[in-house]
Amino acid sequence: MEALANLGIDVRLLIAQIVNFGILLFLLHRFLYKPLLGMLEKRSALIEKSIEEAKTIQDKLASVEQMRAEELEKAKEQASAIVEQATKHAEEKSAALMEKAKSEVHGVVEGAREKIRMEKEHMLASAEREFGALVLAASERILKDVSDEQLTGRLRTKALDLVSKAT
Amino acid sequence: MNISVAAEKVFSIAGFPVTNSILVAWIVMIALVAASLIATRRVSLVPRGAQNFFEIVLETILKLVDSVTGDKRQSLRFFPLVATIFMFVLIGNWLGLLPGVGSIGIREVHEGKAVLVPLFRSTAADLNFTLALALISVVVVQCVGIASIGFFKYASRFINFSNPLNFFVGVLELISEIAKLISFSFRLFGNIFAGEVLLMVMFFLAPYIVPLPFLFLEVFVGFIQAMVFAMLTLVFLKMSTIESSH
Repeated sequence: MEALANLGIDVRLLIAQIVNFGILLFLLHRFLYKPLLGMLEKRSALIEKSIEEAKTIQDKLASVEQMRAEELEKAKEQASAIVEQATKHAEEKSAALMEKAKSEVHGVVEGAREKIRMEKEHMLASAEREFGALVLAASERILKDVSDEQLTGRLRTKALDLVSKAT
Repeated sequence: MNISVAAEKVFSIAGFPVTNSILVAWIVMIALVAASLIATRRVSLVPRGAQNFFEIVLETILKLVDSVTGDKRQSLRFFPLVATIFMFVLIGNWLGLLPGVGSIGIREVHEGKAVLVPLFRSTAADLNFTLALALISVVVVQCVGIASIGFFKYASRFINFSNPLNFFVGVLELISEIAKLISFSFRLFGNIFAGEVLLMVMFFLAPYIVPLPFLFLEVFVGFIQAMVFAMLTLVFLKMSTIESSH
């Protein structure tokens, strides 16, 4: 004990230092280790999560990109199909129109021809009638002076024959 | 020049002798706790200033502990003790190198001679401090050992009648536990006290320039001794959790 005392060892001081250490350990644990180690843990968890999320986002982006390309391809196909169909339709329609126009023109021409023919007939008929009447009148006038009854009758018949033959 | 192996009593509170060494221990405690409070005042995900500094320190120590235990859960269990020992010893050692420690004091007449009683003294230059830490370290090691492998298995390490050889090894183990106490406390005390004496002598012989390399050396020694104390505690803690193979 004498040697220990010479070295300065005092039980009271020893206990005080042990208590000191205990207090320091408690305070540092409470105010330093817990908050900071918790923060380190939280931060590494966050970083891990962020990396995971970034990976997911990248995957999603790739899939979206692929989907977009597929959609684009599909849309292109559809568009070309529509254009093709429209062209075909237009061609058909124009052909039909052309046909219709042709037939209409034909109808008009036919109608005109018919009309001309009828008009011609009408004109001829009226001309014949007028001509016949003229001839009759002329013949009557001429024959009135020169003819007897018999001749007049024969001539009338002949003239009527001629007229009917001419028409 | 006055060199005393024991820490000098500065004053006493209700019969309790307050030595210059325990005074510095209190200062170290206050400084550490204050720094912790500043560092964790606003803990943010993006660390700044004191928080950043302490995060680096703690993470480095935690990595070191991890490299010894190789087990994250165990590391977190051992970490507070190891880190506290390291920081307490380190700051105590370095504070002891500040000018004024050992030179600022009260003049007293002791056994007819006028002596200077220094107000401050390195914490580790007092056996009470180092022995207290050694006691804590060794006792905690025993407790951790019992808690992790069970009382009887742990006790069989020291008291083993399975064969004479194991009995003898057990006795040696028992002695080595006591030897740990002595080696722990005297290693730290010896290094720091010797450093103080060395510096005092150097300053006495050549006050300028010459003591500088020794001052650097003492900064280094202070760090190494804190590290050794913490690392040995850690290694003993780890060893106590492993069941003996024989």
